[in-house]
Amino acid sequence: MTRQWQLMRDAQTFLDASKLANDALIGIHFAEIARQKGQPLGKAQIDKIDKGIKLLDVMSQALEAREKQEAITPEALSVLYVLSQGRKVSSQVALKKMLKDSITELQDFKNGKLDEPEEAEEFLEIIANSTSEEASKATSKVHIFMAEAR
Amino acid sequence: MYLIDQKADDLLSKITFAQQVISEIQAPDEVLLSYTEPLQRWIAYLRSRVEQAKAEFALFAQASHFSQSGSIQESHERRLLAAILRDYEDIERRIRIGLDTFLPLIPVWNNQKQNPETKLHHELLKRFVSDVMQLGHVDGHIMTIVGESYACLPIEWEERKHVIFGTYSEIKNLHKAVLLAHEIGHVFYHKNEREISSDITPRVLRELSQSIPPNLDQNVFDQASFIWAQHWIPEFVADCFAVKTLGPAFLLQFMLIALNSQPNRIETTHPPSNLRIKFMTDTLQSLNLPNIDINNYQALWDSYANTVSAPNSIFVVDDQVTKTAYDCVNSTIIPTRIDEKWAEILDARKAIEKGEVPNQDLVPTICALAMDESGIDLTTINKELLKRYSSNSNVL
Repeated sequence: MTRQWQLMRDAQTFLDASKLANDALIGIHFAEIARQKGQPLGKAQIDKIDKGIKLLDVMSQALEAREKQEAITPEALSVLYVLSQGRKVSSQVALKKMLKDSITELQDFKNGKLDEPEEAEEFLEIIANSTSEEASKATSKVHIFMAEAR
Repeated sequence: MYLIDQKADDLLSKITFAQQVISEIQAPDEVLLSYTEPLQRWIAYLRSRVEQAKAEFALFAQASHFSQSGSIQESHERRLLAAILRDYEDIERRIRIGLDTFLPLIPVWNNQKQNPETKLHHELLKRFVSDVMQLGHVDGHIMTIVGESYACLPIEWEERKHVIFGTYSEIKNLHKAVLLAHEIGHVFYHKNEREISSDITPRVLRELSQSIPPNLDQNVFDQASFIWAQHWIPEFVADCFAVKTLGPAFLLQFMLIALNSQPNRIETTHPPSNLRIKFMTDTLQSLNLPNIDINNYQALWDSYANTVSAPNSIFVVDDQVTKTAYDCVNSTIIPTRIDEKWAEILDARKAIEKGEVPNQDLVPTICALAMDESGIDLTTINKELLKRYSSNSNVL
């Protein structure tokens, strides 16, 4: 496989991780606006928040799996990779804590025990932005080669 | 009308265009149909994504009283708008890599099937790829297109599809087709990815973690893990598939394209050539094919590689890690098929050395051509083979 198509495959993995984080953010922000207006959370918002919790949970399990030297999903591996680029999260200890706190925050937020899941939002923003940026780098290298092929 | 709604309409027009391109294909063949069916489902998914993004923006505009004549101050609303815009970016990128890279291949495929200049070679390549897939127990139809460097394009349309490319400038050198076995190896990898990811990858990453030098930054380790898991293991699997299916023919042709002044150069997307050659020769040695000395191939390579380059000692290519990768990849799921064809390849090789056209099947014949080191002119044999293997083509 040429480098170009390898990067495209990476782009697809990064996009999948980015979408999960971004969907969760959309759910969280809609829920925050609804709460401000005294409205209950809708099913679509709760589903999206649950997706965010699932993503963080998968990452948390990935860290544990890595410590135990077990299998890690491609999405989790790609998120850990982008987080490792440019030190977006200072250390593994900080990453673990951030994941744990974010999952708790999102669960509390969903259950109405917390008004704003600040740390979870910040963390999901980092994941969504950095994976999206990596996907962008990779897709920008895909050129249309059809003139040559014809 | 909101600007973002116009953007949504732009995306929908691209999606509608894709739908039209597919519906206008006249009499698609079996191979093309196997692509357009999942693509149509993917197009429906993209359309629903755009509709959903539009609906979410409408909800946002209503909740925030968004106006295009001013900006929003409220923090949650600002961040929600950013997330909605990011969702649009995601859809655009999926259109780019899922539609824009694939749609132009449809006319190319049809053209190469019918164009007098390409149809014979195209037919032969299709036949060769199909035979190698059958030999390697890889199911499904694959589009094989001439016009790019040897490559396997993976496309995610909920179900994963692949397109195999062959180089245009080498279209007449039939022996070069053996290089496609590596690309089919990528298809094999993707079809077995779950098993490989849960078996081979953790074992290699475990070895990698045990080889970490003192005080290595965790970030460097994460990057090395990603490189091995996402790139290098798939490349080794594809190489292993190629040599277990086509044997020394693939190795020799790979050496020709890999030979350069930096055989130990580390690239994130591919393992160093030196490592790959060692990996392939070790794999071939383990097959114990009769009447061939694999050591000669390794010695041939080393005479250049060891002369121009010193071995790497960096962590990512640690000896123990590469040995584990070799052991895992070589001892697992990849079927060995070369032994079924080896006698035929040797017979075909003898015929070629005499200047005769081999009467063996296409795969052993191409392998024999790829292994030919006699320097004789293969033009006549290539022409005869084209006639023979393309004569049943329904496009003739």
